[in-house]
Amino acid sequence: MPVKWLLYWQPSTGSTVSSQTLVDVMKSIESINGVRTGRWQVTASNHRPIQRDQSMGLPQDCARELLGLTFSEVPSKHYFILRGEHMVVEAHANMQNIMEKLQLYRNRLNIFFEGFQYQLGDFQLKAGRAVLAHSENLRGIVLEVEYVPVSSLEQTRLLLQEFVEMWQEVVTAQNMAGRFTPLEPNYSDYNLPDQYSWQHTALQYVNLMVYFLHAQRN
Amino acid sequence: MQQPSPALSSPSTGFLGPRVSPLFSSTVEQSSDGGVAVSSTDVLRPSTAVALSTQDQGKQAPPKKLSQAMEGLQRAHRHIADIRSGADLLLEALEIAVNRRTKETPGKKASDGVASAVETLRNALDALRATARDLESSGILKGASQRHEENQPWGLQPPSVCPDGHVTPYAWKRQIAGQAAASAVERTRLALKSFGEQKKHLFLGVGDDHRSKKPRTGTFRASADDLSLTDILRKVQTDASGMVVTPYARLEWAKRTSCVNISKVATDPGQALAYLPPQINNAKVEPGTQSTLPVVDTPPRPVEKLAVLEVSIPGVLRAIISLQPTGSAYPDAIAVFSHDENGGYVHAWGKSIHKLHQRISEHGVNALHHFRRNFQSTCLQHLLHWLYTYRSLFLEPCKECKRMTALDSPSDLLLPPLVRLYHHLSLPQTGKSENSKVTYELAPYHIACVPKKELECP
Repeated sequence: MPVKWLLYWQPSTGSTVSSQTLVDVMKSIESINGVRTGRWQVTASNHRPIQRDQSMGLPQDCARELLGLTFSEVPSKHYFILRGEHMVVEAHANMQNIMEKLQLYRNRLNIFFEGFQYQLGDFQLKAGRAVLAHSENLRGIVLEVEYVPVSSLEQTRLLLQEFVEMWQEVVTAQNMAGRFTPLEPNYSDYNLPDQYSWQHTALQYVNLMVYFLHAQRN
Repeated sequence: MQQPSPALSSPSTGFLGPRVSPLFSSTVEQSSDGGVAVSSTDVLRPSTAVALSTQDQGKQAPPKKLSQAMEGLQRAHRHIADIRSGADLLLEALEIAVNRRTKETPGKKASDGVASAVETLRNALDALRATARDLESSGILKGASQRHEENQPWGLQPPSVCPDGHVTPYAWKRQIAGQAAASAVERTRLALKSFGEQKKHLFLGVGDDHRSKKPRTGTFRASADDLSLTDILRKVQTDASGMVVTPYARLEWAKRTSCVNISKVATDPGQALAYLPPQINNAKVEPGTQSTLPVVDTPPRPVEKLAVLEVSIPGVLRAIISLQPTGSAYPDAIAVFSHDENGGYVHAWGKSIHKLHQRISEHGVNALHHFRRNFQSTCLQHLLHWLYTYRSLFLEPCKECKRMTALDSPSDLLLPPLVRLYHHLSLPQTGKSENSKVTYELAPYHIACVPKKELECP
C-alpha cells in the first residue's frame, strides 16, 4: 500500500484557522497542476465503556477508551486503536452496530475529516477539514500526502520530507500565515512494520483527532 | 391436316384468316407433305402456334426479325427430318443386328452399324436442341424461361442449376453464401496468421523445442569461458545481497501474473535458487549433510526452459527481464514495476502504472541496448549489476543538485534521481576486493541534472 504522510495546518501566532485557509490550500494545489479526482472522508469516533453499575469498577480486561476509524476508501473495515494497550485492531464494519446492540460501549463523539483529493504525477494529495459531528465547528485543516509507487516507510522518508518542504514554499508564496506540520506517530510502539498499511493510517488519524480535541480545549 | 388455304376463306374474316400468310402456309404444307410422324407434328404444333402468334407481332416486327425467325424455323424443320431419318436408320441397324446374331455372323459389323446410327441420331437431336435454344433466346419460341416469366410476373429468375447439380431458387443466394464462406475462410486465415505472429513475439521459444538453440542474431557466439545462466544466478546470490533474482519459464510467468497475487516480495535468495536444478558436482556439499535449499512448491525447472528473470529489490522496485533464446544468458527486454503491481501486464514488454517506473524502464531499455552492443558475452551480468545500483534510488540524493526530488519540467512530475549512467560501468572482478579506489556503484542523477560530459561514450 502506498505510503501516506499526514500534515495539519498550524496557524502562526495571532491568526486562527478558517475555511479560507482550506480554499487557499486547494487553490495552491491546483496552481501546481494538481488534478482533482474526487472526495474523501474519514470518520473518527471515541467510545467509552458503559457502566451499568457505578459502584462496581470496570473489569480489568476491558478497554477504557476505544478510538475507532472508518475510511471511505475501505467501507467494509473498521479500525480500533487502543492507546493504553498499544494495539491497532481491524474489524468488520458491522462492529459499530454490534456494539450499539450489546450496549457495552457508547459513542461519545465523532470527528469528520472530509475534503477533495488531487493527483500530482506519482503523488496523491488529500486536502480537507476536520469538523465535529453535528456542528460546523471547524477544528482544523488536514493535508494527506501519498506517494504511490513505494510501500516502505524508510525508503520514502527523504522523498516525502523534501516534498513537504517544497509544499511549504508554495504555501508561503501564497501568503498564508502558518505552516503544515507532519504528524508522525511512533509506529514501533504499536508493533507496526515498515510496510505501510491501513493500520498505519488509522494510527495517524487517531493521533490527529486527539491533537485537535486537545488543541480546542486549550 | 392441311391448313385451310387463304383462298378458301374470305380475306378478312377467316378462322385463321388474317394470321396466316401465304409464305407460312406453304411451309406448313411442305412438312405435312413429308408424311409427318406424330411426334414431329407435336413438336411443330406448339412452334406453329407460337409462330402464328409471332406472325401477329411479325407484321409489326421489322422484316429482318421475321426472316431470322423463318430461317430458324426452317432449320428446325430440317433437323426434325434428320431425326426422323436417323430413327429409321437406327431401327434398320437394330433389325440387321438381330438377324445377324441369329445367323451367327460376327456381330462387329452389326454393332458398328448400330453405333453409327445412334451417333447420327444423337447429332441430329443435339442440333435440334441448339436451334430450339436459339429460337427461344430470340423470343420466337416460347420456352421455359418465358413460361416462367409469365407465371411469375414479379421478375424472379428461373431456378438455376449449378454445375454441381444443385438447384437454387435464387442465383444470388448461392452467390452470397459462397462469398460469405470465402470471406469467413479468409478472415480465419488472417486471424490465425496474426495469432501465430503474436505468439512468436510474446512466447519466444514456446513449442520450438525441435529447432536448434542458436541465438537469433548471428553475431552472438558463446565462447567457452562465458558464464552460463545458472552460474550467473548463483554469482548474483553470493555477490549481490539485497537483490533477489528468480528465474521462471515463460509460460509459468504468464500464468503467475494472471492467477497469483505476486505482490509478495521475494526476499530470500536461497528460495529463488531453489528453482534451479541442483548442482551435481558440488564438492562443498559433504555427504551426509542435509540440503540447505528450502522446500518450494514447484520442482526445479530445467535450465533450457528458463526465459524470464524476476529481479526484486525489496522496497524499491521489481524488474522483469526476458531472455532470448530460452535458457541462455542473453537478455532481450526489460521492464520495471513496483512491488504492488499485479496483473497480466507485468512482463518484460509491459508498462508500469507509475510514472517513476515508466521512466526507469525507458532508461533500462537504453542500458540494455548499450550493453548488447558493447558487451555481447557479459550483457546479462552488466544489466544485473546496473539494476543492483538502484538500491539507493530513494536513499541517496542527486549528485548534481544534492536534492532528492526534482521537477521534470516537460511532464510536471516530481521524480527522485533515477538516472544511473551505464556508459562507464565495469563489472566487479572477483578477488580484487582490496582495490578500494574503484567503486562499482553508480552516481544517481535526476533526468535534468545529468552532466553532458558523462553522456559521451568512450
